Amino acid sequence: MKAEDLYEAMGSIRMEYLEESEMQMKKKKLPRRTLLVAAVIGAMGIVGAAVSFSLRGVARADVGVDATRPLPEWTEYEVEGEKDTGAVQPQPVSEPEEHEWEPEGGWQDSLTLDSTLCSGEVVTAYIRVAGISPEIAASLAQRGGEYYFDIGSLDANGEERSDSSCGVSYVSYDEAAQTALIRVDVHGVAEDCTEIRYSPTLCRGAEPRPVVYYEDVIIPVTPSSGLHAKIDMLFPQGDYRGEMRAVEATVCAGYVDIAVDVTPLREIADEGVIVPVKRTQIPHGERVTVPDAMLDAIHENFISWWDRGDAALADVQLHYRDGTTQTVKEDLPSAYAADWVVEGGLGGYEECCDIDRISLRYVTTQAIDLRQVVSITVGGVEYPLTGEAA
Amino acid sequence: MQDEEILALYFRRDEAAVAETERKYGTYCRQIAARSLPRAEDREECVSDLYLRVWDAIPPQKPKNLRLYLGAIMRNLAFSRWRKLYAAKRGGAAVELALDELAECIPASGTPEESVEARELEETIDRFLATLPVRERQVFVRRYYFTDPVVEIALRFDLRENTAVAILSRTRKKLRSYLEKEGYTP
Repeated sequence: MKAEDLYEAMGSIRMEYLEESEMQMKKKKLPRRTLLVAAVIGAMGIVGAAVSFSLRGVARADVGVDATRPLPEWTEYEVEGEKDTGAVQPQPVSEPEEHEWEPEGGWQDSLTLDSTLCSGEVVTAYIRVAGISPEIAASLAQRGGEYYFDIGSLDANGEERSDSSCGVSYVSYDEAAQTALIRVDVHGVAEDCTEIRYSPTLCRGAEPRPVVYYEDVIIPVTPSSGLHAKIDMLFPQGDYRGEMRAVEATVCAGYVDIAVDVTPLREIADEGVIVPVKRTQIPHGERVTVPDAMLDAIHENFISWWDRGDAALADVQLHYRDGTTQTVKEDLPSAYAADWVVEGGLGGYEECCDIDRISLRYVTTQAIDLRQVVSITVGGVEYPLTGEAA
Repeated sequence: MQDEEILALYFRRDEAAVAETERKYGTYCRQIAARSLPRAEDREECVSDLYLRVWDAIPPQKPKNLRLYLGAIMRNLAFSRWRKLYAAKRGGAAVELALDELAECIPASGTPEESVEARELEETIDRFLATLPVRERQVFVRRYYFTDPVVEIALRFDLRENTAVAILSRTRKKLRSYLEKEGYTP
């Protein structure tokens, strides 16, 4: 054995050890229960009150909530200086945390939960971040700017979640209070999850470490409901071989899901294309060798879900009690909002050839008032929605 | 751009994914490669290999931590290249110091020519790491996975440099003893 062998073998140690050593911001948390206590409302300056109202107004506008008729899934939290105390919940706070290490600049206790939209598997939270200078805010507002908020750490009911299940984006800024408003979208929230602990980091350019680390903020997960309809729509075949058939629609306050049965790639690929992949052990796990033809077939299959889904579901509409109609795709925040998801994940190269059910999910920017929705049109056919709005 | 968006580009087979990866993580990956490869040309070739490999792997892989995922592949590509180019005649890379230190862990009765089953050794090291207290494991991984200089490890974990050196020395002895117990000596 040589030292090189040892070094090479170190290259395949478990990812959790890498995360443990890389993420020096990981905190040692004391066993504790989250306490919901009323926030201490200090002396409220006029400027402070105006600032709070302004950022809350931005959050409401961003999600499309009317202050006079809030959605059951929408919750606003007490914030120092906030005038509107009609239906706000106390600010969730927890016992102080003990940190195992201190980053340069310390842990910033600068986050305040403003409001949340809890909608099935997706929780959207608006969080205020104090201590942001106008220069940094200007950079944050610019797409591709030098500064950006990164996901940081996230755990739901004590279980650490993957980074890819969460997105964070800058929404607005109040210069007088030097406070930014960010929006955090957490996907894949389990049904029994009651709270999410979240802390973003502020990063600059390609610097390997964040420039600011924040103490956790607690995001309570409040109950939500969904409306459902059994549907039946065969997607146009086009040049593709497999069949795609929409079988169920689910409407939640923050998204619309269309469940689609798909023909597994293994059944439609040319003979000999889907083969067992070759696995060889290398540092950092194993090298999987996939024939080019199989790789192409997998990618083409994924793309077909997108292309056909996008085309066939372009006219999905929600119908409201007052006779109005909303075309879902017109309310999408970005090209990435419409996505297909597979329960339990894609698996590896071989497993993904056997997927037979996907969901096409449309996460809307503006919240949907489920109390007002009566039906959904998919593929030109209107289906009544059932289930109870919260 | 957020990692989630970069991954979405890969999943759409949009070549902008590679440009966005380079923009966000190019410097980080080159820093990792530099531990093994002092020459810029070697590093650039490794970075090209990295992007090709990632393009082929995502999808279906969807890494939970894109930064670590890229770093892991980069580390191993760079070390493979170092082995190929410099192992026989060392070239002044940071990794060589780490290798000298790791040489202390080789059981005395083993010979340099003795062949070792790679997979078995990897599993042994994984098990060994599981026996360590968290702080020792963090320090050991920073040194022998990321090849961080000792001074940087001391700064990261708020240790005095001597303390970091002592932790590493103690852990290497533990590894040597563990390897012996696991039968790496006759």
